[in-house]
Amino acid sequence: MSAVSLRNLCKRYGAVPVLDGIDLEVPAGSIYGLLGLNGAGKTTLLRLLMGFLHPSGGAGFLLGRPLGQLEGKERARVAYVPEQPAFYPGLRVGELLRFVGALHPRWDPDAAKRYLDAFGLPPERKVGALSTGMRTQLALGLALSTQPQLLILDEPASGLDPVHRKRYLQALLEACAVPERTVLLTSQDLGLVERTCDHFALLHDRRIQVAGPIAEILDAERRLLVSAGPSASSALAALDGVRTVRAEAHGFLVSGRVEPDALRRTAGVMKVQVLGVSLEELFWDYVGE
Amino acid sequence: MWIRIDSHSGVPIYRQIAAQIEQAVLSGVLQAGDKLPAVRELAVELAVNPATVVKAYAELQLGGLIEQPRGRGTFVLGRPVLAAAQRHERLKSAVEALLVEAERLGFGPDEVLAELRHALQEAASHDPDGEGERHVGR
Repeated sequence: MSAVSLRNLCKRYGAVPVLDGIDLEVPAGSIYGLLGLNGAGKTTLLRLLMGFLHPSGGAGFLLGRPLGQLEGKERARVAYVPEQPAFYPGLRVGELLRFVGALHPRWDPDAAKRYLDAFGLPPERKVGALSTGMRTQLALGLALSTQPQLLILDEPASGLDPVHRKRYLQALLEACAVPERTVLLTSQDLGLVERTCDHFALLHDRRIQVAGPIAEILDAERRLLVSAGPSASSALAALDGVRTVRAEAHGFLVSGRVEPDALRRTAGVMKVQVLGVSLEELFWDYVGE
Repeated sequence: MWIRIDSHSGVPIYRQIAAQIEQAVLSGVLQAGDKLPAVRELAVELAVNPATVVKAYAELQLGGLIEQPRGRGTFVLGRPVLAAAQRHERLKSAVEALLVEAERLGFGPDEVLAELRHALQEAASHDPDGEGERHVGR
């Protein structure tokens, strides 16, 4: 079953389309990274999932229920951490935990204590006096202590130094050992997504440009440096699976789902060198000018 | 943890993990019978997705470097005994990389050959037991 399933989902702000025909399947148990530039609509998409916004068209399902129609018990299985979580600044960390614990039906007080320790969050400190990094960690600790089946994180670990960032991601990955727990996160950090996620989708130009299991997609993708005369350009672009052909100093940089041998057989091609492909190159392929 | 991940290297993370474990086995840091961390444990330690560690271990198992008896963990088997085809494939790709680098630096075939001959002689003279080829191969 998919934890999140979107079909032709659209969102307009007034006359301005933000999301246009989004199809997305987030498999249960996956760690799913949603990539996109600033303003691509990642946060809008999350807010639609949470029912804070209403779609202008299309359909969506969260844990099998239509968007915006989750009942209390189902809603309690979904945790959402915005990029800048708002807490009552006057509460102490310990008080905040008791407050949330009293309200949330799935609250695990032992887990909450563990996260407090792991992140080194002082229970007596006023929330308003916490550093940005500490607030980020507190928000994750609170969300995980509600034992979510679906955890939605908007730009997690942004603003953390390398040490706290690693600790944050470790806590997140550790929490994913629970079977069927799904994490959907947005990020602009390609390294973070490639490292921690098993699936990704790239949101650009109001649509999902590419989506699926990261390892499979990167395995199929090729980036090839081709030495050839300028006349080879159109023949290369016409090959099956080729997505982009860019002119380089002594030939072309070809990317897409294409094997080097297909290029070697192309007229005018002298040499083909296989380069590595990471999410970063793929990202630039779709998003670059 | 001695394994390091470079997110910007362009080398797939599973391959980075596999290569570092392989290196540790080849250099003798890890020995036959040594137990490797469980998948989850290593994934959390390195802050990488568990599927990445599964893939790294699978590659090492395919290379004959480790074994994963069901439910008992992951163990180092010792220095790898690669299939003939695999050995040849690895040598070929190492030679290809050498040729690309030589061409980039402007060396011709004769100079590459001379350098190779020289290196082989050096290695043989340092290793009277005749194991020089294996060391060069690494």
